[in-house]
Amino acid sequence: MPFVETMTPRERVMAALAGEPVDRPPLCNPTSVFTVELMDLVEAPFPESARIPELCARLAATGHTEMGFDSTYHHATIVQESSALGCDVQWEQKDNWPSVRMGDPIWKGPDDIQIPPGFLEHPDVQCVIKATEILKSELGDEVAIIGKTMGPWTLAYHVFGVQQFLLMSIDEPDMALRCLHLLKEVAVLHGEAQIAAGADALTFPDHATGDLVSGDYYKQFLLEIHQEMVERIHAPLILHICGRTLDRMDYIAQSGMSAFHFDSKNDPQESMDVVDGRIALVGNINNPETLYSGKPEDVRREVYKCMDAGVNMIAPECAVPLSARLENVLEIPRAVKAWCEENYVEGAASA
Amino acid sequence: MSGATTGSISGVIEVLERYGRCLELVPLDPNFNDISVGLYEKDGVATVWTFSRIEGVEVRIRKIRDQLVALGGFDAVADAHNQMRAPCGIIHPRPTKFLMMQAVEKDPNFSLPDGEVAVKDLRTGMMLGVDSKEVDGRVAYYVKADGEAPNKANRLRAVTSGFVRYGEMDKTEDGGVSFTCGYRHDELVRLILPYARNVTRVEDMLEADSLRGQMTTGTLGFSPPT
Repeated sequence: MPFVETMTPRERVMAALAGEPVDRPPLCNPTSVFTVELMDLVEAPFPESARIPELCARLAATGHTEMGFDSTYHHATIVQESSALGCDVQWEQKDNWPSVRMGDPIWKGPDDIQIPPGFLEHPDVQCVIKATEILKSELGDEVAIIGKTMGPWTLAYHVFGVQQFLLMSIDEPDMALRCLHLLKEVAVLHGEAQIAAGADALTFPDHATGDLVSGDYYKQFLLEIHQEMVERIHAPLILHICGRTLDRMDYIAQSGMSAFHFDSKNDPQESMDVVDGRIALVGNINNPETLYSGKPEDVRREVYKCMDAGVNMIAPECAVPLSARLENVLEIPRAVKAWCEENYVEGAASA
Repeated sequence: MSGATTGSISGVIEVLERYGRCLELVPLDPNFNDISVGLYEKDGVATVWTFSRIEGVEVRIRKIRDQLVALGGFDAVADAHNQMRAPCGIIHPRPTKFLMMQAVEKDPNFSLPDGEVAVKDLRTGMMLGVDSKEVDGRVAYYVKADGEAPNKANRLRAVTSGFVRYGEMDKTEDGGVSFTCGYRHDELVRLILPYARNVTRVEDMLEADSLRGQMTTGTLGFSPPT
């Protein structure tokens, strides 16, 4: 019997983020799914579409209108807040992500941290806020509009430099913690502004990654701050941390966040076992080997692995590579629907 | 009104159904408004495609198709400005990467030299070339070198391995290589030789290419490079 969808994309995403039953796992992308070909399709190339709200929204809309995801995501990389704080940004070309030049940090310690009075009026912040408004007005009844506010750990990398901040966390952990508490205010300010503009949920990237810091670091520096963010930011939050995170998933499950966007370096079943229903998981289709270099059958295999494990929402593990093949990205929704056809029985709903 | 929901003239699904899978994608065409250019393949027909609708794009796509025909030995599909077929019926995927780089990124009037295949080996100073012969209906190619160098035989074997890697060719029992289809593809051999002679450098180039546009902790600067 053919599988029949009974929810709108937005209903599906919001229900999954609330831990409620869904007709099928949403295709919820907490990071971008656009590529250079989609930029050409809608005449919204980088870096312009990272800085002009109309182009930003138009490009993000393709995630739903062309790729078939249940949500849109319009943040072209992770630089907006840091740009507004005064960091130098390399805007790059169409085929590469804008990035913060961290080799030349703007601050040295907590006494330097000041959120500029015009933070929300900065053009790079305004770009995402206005793009949120556009997406909400044009697609918001149908699709979940996912915004993003950077967590304090990533912001600390940007404003202090990665090495400097990591050394601070070792040599002067109290000072590092003070920095994080000051920087978390940026996350609240930016997040609440996007919610006011119409964002249904926010990705909360905070790169306490397995490559550089231990799982205990997450508990020591971030767990309480993330719990506080859940209280203070009035929309579902999707924590995003790249890399191996199994060693901190138990802590992450205690954060109170609605979902955790996890990397393909973590086995879906093992991850589901660790979080044990305390937080929804979203992910974790591999980018470099699968979406960039692989074939649709490789994508389908990974989607099925996630679906078999009961992963709550299906998405690429992080921003889709800008030169990824569209047939691979398109295979994600196709595979989700095919899995449902093969596995669902009439009337079933999953939480 | 941003036009976020405006339907596209050729939607992605429609294009993929019409032209098939994307064999190769060049993200930026430096010779025409930085458009992306893909080579799609379906039922043995290769199509040069861009989603861009910038004025003049059709002329540019025709030019790229013509370059691919000239550099790769394809047959242009009649009455189409953007399509071609391989004479053997198979679009060999791996050489296509290098072919697209040359056809899109190099000067539009670029051409490979005529005559005997000959490229200087930067490592030894020898002149590298390729001979061919047909055995049992299959064409085999043999790397040769003019000049002397220590371990010359090893060097020839290394370049031959480069053909296996970048041409997706099979080694023959007598030290040569042949395409999987067994056909003669002299144009592709001419194209691949400069890459086959310097695998280390080409691998570095391909690695850098593949990392561009990837968002990882490494490319973001949040983890040591691997």
